[in-house]
Amino acid sequence: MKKNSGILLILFCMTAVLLFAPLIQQNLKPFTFKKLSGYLEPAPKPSFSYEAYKTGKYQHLAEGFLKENFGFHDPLIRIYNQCTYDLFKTTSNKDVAIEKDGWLYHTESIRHYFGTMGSISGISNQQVHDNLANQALCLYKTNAILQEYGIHLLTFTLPTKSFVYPEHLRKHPIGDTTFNAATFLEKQLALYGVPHINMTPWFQQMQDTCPISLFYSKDSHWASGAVFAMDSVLRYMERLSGQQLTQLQIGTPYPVYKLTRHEADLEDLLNLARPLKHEPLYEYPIHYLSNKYTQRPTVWFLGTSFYWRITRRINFDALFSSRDFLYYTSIYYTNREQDYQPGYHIDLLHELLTHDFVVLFKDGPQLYHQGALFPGKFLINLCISEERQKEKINFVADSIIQAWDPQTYADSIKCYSQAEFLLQQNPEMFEELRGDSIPTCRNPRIEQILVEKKIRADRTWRFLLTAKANNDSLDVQKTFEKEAYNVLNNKELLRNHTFFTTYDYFDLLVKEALDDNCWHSDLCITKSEQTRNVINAIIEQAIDTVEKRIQQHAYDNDTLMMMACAMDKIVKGFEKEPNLVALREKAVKKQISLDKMFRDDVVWIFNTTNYDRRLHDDVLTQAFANYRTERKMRNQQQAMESIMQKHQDLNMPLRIILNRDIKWIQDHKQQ
Amino acid sequence: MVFSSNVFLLYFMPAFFLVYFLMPKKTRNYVLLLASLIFYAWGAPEFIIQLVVSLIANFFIVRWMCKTEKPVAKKWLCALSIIISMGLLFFYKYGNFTMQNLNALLRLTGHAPLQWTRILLPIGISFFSFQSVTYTLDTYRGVNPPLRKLSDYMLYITMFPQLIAGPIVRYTDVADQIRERESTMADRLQGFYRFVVGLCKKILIADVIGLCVDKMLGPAALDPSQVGDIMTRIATLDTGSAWLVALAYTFQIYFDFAGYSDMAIGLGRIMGFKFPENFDNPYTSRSITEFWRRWHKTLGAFIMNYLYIPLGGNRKGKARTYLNLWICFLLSGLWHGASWNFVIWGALHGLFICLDKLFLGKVMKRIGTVPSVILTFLTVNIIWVFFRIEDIGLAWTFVTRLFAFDFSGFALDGNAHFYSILVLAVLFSFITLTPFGRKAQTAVYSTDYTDKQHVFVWIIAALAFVFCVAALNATSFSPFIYFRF
Repeated sequence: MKKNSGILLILFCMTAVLLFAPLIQQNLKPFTFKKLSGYLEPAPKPSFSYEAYKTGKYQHLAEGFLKENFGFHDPLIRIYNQCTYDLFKTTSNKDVAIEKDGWLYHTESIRHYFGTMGSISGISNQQVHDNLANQALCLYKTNAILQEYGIHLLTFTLPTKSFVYPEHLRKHPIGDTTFNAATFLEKQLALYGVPHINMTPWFQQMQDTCPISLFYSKDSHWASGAVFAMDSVLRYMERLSGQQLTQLQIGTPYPVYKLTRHEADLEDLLNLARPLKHEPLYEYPIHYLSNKYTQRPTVWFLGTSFYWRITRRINFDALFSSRDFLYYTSIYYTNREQDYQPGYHIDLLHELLTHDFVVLFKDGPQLYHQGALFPGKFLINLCISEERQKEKINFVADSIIQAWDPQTYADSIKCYSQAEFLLQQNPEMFEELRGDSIPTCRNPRIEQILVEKKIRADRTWRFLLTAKANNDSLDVQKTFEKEAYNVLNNKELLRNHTFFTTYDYFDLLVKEALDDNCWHSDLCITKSEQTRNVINAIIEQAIDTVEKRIQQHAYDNDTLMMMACAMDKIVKGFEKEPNLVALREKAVKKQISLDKMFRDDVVWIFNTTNYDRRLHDDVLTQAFANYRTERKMRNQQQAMESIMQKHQDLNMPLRIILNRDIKWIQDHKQQ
Repeated sequence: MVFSSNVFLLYFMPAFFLVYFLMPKKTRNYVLLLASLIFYAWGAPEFIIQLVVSLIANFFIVRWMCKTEKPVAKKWLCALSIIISMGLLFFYKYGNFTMQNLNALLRLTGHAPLQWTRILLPIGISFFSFQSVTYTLDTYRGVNPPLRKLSDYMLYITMFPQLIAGPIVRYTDVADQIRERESTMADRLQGFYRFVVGLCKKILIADVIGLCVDKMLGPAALDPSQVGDIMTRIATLDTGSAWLVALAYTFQIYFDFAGYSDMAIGLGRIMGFKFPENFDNPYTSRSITEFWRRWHKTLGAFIMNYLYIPLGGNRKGKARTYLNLWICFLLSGLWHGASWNFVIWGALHGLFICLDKLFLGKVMKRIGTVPSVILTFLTVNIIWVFFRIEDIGLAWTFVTRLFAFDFSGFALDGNAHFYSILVLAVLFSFITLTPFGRKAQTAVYSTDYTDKQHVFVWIIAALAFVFCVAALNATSFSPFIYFRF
């Protein structure tokens, strides 16, 4: 044997490199790798203190932190996972089960199927039974109260993949399959007459006849099944409200060749080094059928990520004028997936009362857990004032502190959250909510929220207050609340003190249309192809939409736009020579200026032609000023040529160009 | 700090070897001593001062002992040194156990129990106490001269590769190596290979099997509140699952302990130390006596040299020999843990060794290799139950389930990974019964590679090391689908 040969030295040096590589990667990060999927509570970074070191806490934290943050952590985890998957078809992820034919299931879904949920949730079937019975009673009361305000509550239990596709499951330990939380809840809600759909049995039936898979093999959510589910929800909503809603026309399935990664959440969780093979995927084409009687209600969805599988297949803009989504207690999405805020801060009562529909959904395994107690929360917020709620929470928290082991509940915040949880779990702890009858007490804030809702429903009022908030740099929501307060207390309304021009109004309409349109990618594609500028195309599309709506009289007569249009007509009528002569005579008789006479007559005609709203003096003054500016511009050939040039260059409607120039002139005059 | 942790593998080990090999040879012992103290202080910060003080005291007592001419004084100083070492072991390891039993006795006799604050067991105390004793006795017997430098003595006791879980290195085995040792490039690489072999045994085999064992039997240190649940589970366990769990534990403990010893031997070899082997295919033994010649050999040697022989060994008649053997194994059981289940485990081994001497050994020889290996293995397998399950009631219930012949179901929730590794563990444990297996093992543990073989082995070792680090972290990496509320 050669000793200390060159090769051995090289190998020794390579060993050193091998040992130091993670340290170098951790500190200098010369390589970047794809991040691992899934959510983990990140290990806290340890901070050294002698006390922490002495007790071993520092060492424990350091090992935990290193475990997640050493160099090459992510690729090494992927390599190991890939090896164990290829060799043994196993995963270290406790949330994912690799079953027959490469089908992946959420572990809880399997436990739900085999009746062993209690072994992981730590709650017995009897406890789940009692808890669900309680929730059903809360939903019954909530539904009755919401109906008083014309709001519809709809609940549904999501289909569980293991129940729909049990043929791909391996053998698992069997527990108590006599109790099924979803079936029990369905029966309870039917007993109380609360609108509810248990989708599992329906999906089980559909699975036999449907030509394509309702769930993807590598995802925990429904796939094309989402389309049928939404269709049934829509029909149910129609039945509840008596309104005609948009119809979904579901076509014949077409193959999808490119895998959409977000539809393989279970595969993502395996964190493998290379993607798995997928079965051929199919999707349904959807057409939206609507007419002038079709309503687009506002909806508030509360539930799980199954929601995203619907919105990725169905254009909600075609169905709802507004829809918000509370992803349980974590995130609140306003209309779009991109607009979100922490869900803990939302005003539950406000959200409940400002939508036409409240749609609550959970999946089967979730029914075994006691989190996200919305039924209790709803009922308490609808019936109990905030002050009383706080008082009760304090009372219960104090009882916990006294009754429980002080060491366990040393943290007072924990006590208060526990008190809140107990009250939401059992709202009957409030004397007012006891019994099976519908509570008669109401949260006093309801009245104000309903007035606010009315204000928001009135486009003109809404725009006026929005403009007021923008001009005065106020919080829009608070401005609405203040206006509602003014209405309830017969105080001077903010809208009467808002300076607002026709042109501002047009801009707001465009902005509103922009919000509506910019997510209609198909609407914008043609335009963007023409202009090669997506943003301009979207704006242009919005302007076109508003102009078309004006032509189709889509805006109600009480809007400022229609007022402005009516005023234009009247003024133009006076400009004709015979009318001007008559007007001059009248002015002489009344001994006022022609201008004043002109203005008075316009107001008289406007106010007597059945327009609901009388013109505010400020608005009228501004409208006349704008009109005069426009007339001057139209009389100047050079100005008009410049405007026509802009119209051609920018490829924008003439009205917009005119409005912008008028506004610019007005602003500069004021300055 | 344990070898199979990120802190050791990714920080301590690279940093230590970098400094160690960059320093001049004369200072390497100091580097190793400092690293060993840091290594120990990381895991047992509260005990490091006591360890150092006891070592200093022992060093000077032994030096004094060697200088003194009077045999009586020598004897007393030797005894004092042993009392210090064993006193610490007794206080920390058996203090709680003794007081617990004493108080139980007092309660039985109607007396008030004594006040006692539970003390924590310092990591590795069983090993370094024994090493300290070997130093004292070897120098007392004149086998080796005492070490001149305190730092060398402290290094012998606290050397981090063998500090926590052995092998129990006798002073006589490493006395020369502490003073002078040579580490060639081949030694360093072979040390690395050996370390990786140990790491694989621990992480890829023992830990995987252990997951399933823990799932069925609960954690090794059972909380009294958990006993009820585990008892319910064990009482209804079917025979098939019970045997599989017992088998799984038998292999888990072997690969865990043997893996750790391999890592220690490997780390020592990188620095030029040649630590004694601790395991020699123990499950291929044809009797319990042979099993103890192959299992934890350094402990066996220690008991033989420092307990069995001083007790009289086999020189005082048959009855005394059996008694001595039985005492040795009883104490060996107690050395493994301060609990009655370990006493029973040791007592059972002692009993079988006595039976071997009486008649069983001859019977085993007569029935042939394979049956005797199987019978010995099954005996060891059943006795391991008392080692794993601390609660004697639980352990006994488990043993009854092994012979309940209840095949009504199969409760063991093992996956393909577990079963595959279990099969591999069986294969690796018994392969040396075949000529091919013996050749393969010789090749793996060979110290005489050619350059080409080195390249080949290095690639495998490097890949295995990377895979072990991945496994160490991936097995507990279980992200949630969504945030838990």
